[in-house]
Amino acid sequence: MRAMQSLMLVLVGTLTLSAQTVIKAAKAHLGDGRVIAPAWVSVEGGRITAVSAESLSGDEVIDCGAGEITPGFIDAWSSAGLARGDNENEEGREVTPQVDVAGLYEVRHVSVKRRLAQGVTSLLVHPGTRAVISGAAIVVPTAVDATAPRHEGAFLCVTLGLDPAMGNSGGQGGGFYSRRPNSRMGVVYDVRAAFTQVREALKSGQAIDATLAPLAAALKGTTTVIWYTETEKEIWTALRLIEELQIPRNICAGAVRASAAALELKARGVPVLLGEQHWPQYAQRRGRGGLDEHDHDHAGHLHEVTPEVRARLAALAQTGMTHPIDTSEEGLFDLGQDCCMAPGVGAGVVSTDRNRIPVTTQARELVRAGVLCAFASGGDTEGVHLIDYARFAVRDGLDAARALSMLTLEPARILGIAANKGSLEAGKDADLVVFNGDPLSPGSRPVLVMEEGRIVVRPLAAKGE
Amino acid sequence: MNLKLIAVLCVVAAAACGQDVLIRGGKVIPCKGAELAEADVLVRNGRIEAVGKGLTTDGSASVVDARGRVVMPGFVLAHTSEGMDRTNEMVPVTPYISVLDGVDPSRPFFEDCLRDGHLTIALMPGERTIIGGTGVILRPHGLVVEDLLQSDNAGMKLSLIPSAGNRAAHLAKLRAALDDAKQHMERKQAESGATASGNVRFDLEAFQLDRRKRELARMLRGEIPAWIACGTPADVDQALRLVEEYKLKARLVLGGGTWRAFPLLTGKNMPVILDSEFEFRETDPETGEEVIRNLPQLLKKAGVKFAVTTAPSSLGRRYLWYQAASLVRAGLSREEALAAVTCDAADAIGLGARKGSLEVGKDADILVLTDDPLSGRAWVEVGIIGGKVAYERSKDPRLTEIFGAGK
Amino acid sequence: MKRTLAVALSFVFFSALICAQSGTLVIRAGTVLSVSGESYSPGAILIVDGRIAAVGREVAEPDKAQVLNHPDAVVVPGFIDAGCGVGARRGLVESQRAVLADLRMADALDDTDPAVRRHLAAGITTWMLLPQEGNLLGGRAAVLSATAAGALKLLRAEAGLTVCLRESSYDREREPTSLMGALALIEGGQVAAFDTAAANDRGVLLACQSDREVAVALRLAGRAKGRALLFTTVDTGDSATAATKAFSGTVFSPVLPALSERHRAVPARYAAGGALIAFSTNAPQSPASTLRLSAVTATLGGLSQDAALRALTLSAAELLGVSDQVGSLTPGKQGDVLIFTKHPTDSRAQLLRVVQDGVVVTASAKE
Repeated sequence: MRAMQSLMLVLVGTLTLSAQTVIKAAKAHLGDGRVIAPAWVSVEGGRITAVSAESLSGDEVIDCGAGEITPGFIDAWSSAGLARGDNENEEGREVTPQVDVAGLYEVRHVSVKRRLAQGVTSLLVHPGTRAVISGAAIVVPTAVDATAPRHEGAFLCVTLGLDPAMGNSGGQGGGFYSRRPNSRMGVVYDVRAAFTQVREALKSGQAIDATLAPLAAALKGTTTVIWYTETEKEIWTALRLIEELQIPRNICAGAVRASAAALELKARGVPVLLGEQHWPQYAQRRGRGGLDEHDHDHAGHLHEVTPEVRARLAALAQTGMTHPIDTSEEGLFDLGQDCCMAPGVGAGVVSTDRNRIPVTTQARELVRAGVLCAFASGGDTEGVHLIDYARFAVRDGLDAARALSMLTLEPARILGIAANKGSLEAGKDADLVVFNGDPLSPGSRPVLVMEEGRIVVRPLAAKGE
Repeated sequence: MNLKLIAVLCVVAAAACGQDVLIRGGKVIPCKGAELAEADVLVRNGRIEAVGKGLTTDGSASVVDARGRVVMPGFVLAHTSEGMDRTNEMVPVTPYISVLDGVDPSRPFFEDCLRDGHLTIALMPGERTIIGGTGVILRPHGLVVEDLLQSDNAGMKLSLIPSAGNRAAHLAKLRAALDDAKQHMERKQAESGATASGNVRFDLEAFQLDRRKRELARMLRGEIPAWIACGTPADVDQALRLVEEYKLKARLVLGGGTWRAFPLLTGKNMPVILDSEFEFRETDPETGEEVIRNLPQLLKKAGVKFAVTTAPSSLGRRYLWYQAASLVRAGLSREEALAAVTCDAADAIGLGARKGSLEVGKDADILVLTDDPLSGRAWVEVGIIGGKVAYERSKDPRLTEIFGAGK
Repeated sequence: MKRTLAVALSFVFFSALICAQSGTLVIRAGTVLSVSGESYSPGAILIVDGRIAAVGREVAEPDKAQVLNHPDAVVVPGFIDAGCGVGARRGLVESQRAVLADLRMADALDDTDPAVRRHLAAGITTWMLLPQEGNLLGGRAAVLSATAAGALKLLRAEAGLTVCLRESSYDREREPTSLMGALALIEGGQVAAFDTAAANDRGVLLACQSDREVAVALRLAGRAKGRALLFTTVDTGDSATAATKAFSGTVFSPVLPALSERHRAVPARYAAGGALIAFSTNAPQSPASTLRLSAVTATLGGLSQDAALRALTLSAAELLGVSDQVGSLTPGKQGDVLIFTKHPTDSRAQLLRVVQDGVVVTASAKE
């Protein structure tokens, strides 16, 4: 039975590679857009010491044959390593900047192991989105059990949109959830109030409550604010608040139709994290597959109501074969709405909500506009492989090198860890993935994952399947 | 930029059914037999007339220029419950309902199927009831369900996945329904004094069968197959027993949890349809570690041919080409992977003689793709159903909306 | 105040009672496992006025001493249950607030609790009374002993502040609603009681049931200057190494034989390198018999018999801060002695007698 698990991933664990290891492969995608073939990458002491198209020698050579190397992926917006449910959120208050996921992240959690098997070597882990200011996010490795995360406290998460208002009842009923905010504007008010309070205090030199210190850091620019922006409406809001509160360092995490705000994002230098995570909720909140007034603006479909069709429908109605159909002009119009202008689907991806422009297409638009952006998995720990975002982006017309860099160097830049992560370059951390073919082909899979110089995942398949 | 090529592409929409269509100069992947470079496919009267190099036709044929493109049979989606509003009744035994009455052709699902090249769709009731009703086989083109219909004899959906967790009660109900239908059929046959003529449909009329039991009787007499959904290895075992006991013609719809029962299927020659997720994750109770079961490999090892399904809300798994690529990722060969979404899938739903490959005499359900189906970059350029051009990418308003015209 | 007085009075009353009953007891047995030091085969113990007077291969036998002869038996100290609800009626959990640092278990003693006798019958002569779960800061624990008459006496009225990081603490209708919030609350210095308890010798008792919660407990333990004890389950095996360094010791919820190999091995992992571990029954949720069963199961998972016995006795006493009074057969300590047919971590062993404060309180049906 065991032998059947040919894809079972074996965690080689803390196998430290002695001295200098060289990985040889058919090709290496360096992460910064460059590709070399063939490729040798030498690793020593957890760092890359050389990357070359010429042969390199080392104490041990791992020959990956026709494999292709990419930098380890960086999942820049995720909840991996946190328990599902309540532990992602603290709902006791709306403004909890002092909350920190650092104490909660569990490197051994199955959601982290799954990411690791996909080739993800760094994660940004964020608290849930049920609070207005939900707390600090951290950037952590996925295999190295770092009890003290290395980039702790550098990110403060702010939720715009309706999530923090969900569950709150504005009524007079009393009880824990009988409180504000109950609307998008209520949420924005809380953000503004908290930051303004701290800004005033900073100006007048008053002491700031310890729990609000992260807000002061954000205003000073020592902490980056990650705005959780569910739709482009929230992006506009975020940009307004950034302007108004003079917050120097910002990131927008995901949005349906983020590309609509591409120019403004570019103008203010705010990078965007794109992922699927926001969508399921979005779909639930609107009835009928996401039909809203926006949909009706977009007529035009694969089928047209031609006179023949109209006659045919009338005939059908007479035979009583289908549900009664009103064949009057007005009735047909309604029918037309149903049959011909039903909510459809975006081309590249995911949902039955036609007004969602696929993330992969958005990526293309944002890149075109010059916005720094990266793909991220969000809450999804099951189905989606991070690399699939890049694959679909290429299908939707994005340049292949750029698509790959949106999983590697771009997120590293956005998170401010590009000095050590994100590309295959001498001096950087030896975080890399070897695929058994072109990483952008859906038929390829990771056969080796190295994190900080240690081989952390090596599927059995790689050992002579 | 790829899209710019479309302008160059010459596509003449086929007007009448009788018109010939010549798909010229593409790389032809027939899915049965060897791939051909720069070959032609000739379509006449809705069927494939010829496949080969240098085919000619008289001037009346419309020509689809497929040079630099890939030509292959339409994908066959072997099992789905999409495209309806509710997939199941709330009552556990409903053999008398048909998904035909639940299909909503305006659902975006069908539009997507067309765009994604899923040209044959087996639409079955869901898995939440013991006997779910009958399914149909559709094509994704048309305004009313009659347009879509390819076959309304797809079969009866049974589910062995206990809804309330009590397997014994679940099976008892299923057997009771089957026995009841059987006895009813026998009694009516005796009452009517008619002898079986061999024409099932006629017999059932003659026996004056209760309408509510008619379809079940058809299943018991082998006229329509039973599609049996299984969630655990024990379900598969039970399914095989039921097939034996009631002499059913069966198709198995398998969830990942059934992998331990795959060896039971060896040599059974029973059509198998695998769930859309090809990796089954379980936690080893001793080590607490997650173990991944490679389902395609396990089926292959058991010598079982299979078709695969999709998951419409997933980033990749909603496309059959992606599913085929995933089979390659799981270690299957290119031919095996493509077969699972074309010819093997057609076999699995009982339409192997008409669908699933580019062979002379088969239905002309043909795709012209921009790239190899396993490359991950392919778009359906032209979709031909029954010899008629049903989809052209250059005229797809949704893509124009998203990508802009002429890009 | 009145209650404290009442408890104190009953303490005096029962102490007097016991003194009257007890006198001098000599136990001779095939083996005497003192736990703190030597073992004797054969061995003997002398208990005078409820306290152990001598232990050795042989002891002087005073006049009129009651003598118990068990030539095939194994004698061990009374067991210590490091966490349960015995001795206070339950169901009084306060749920309006999650922080109830001032609740003292010592104020809630109730010697009519029938669980006291059941504990004694299972050989548990000392235990820690914990506040009921359900609050982040549930109150302050107490260490109790039963008297021979089945009454209660306090060995330690202030045995530490309980901090329950488990899911049951997070009610969605009050703050904190999550582990994350709990951590922020305590680390933000908003719970003064935690820092007070963490700074003094009473210490903090951190209850967890997952590795994640242990990780949070580790951070909080780093804040504690005094003692910090970990109360956990065998689901937290991966935290063993880190936890043994950071905590004064670890107390396990019942470790039952039905668990997998991996889980059964967890107490041994925590005890590696000589770290202190103890077991608890969580009674009345679990029967008193689960205490010894836990030790037996842990030996199946690789814990040595000696270590398992120590976990039931001296280690527990040290963890609870009462090793000067109970936990081993050492002259001067309470005369709490158990007589078993075999080593108590042998699953076939039967408990023949329980001696509490030098008085035989139960006798098995055999005799």
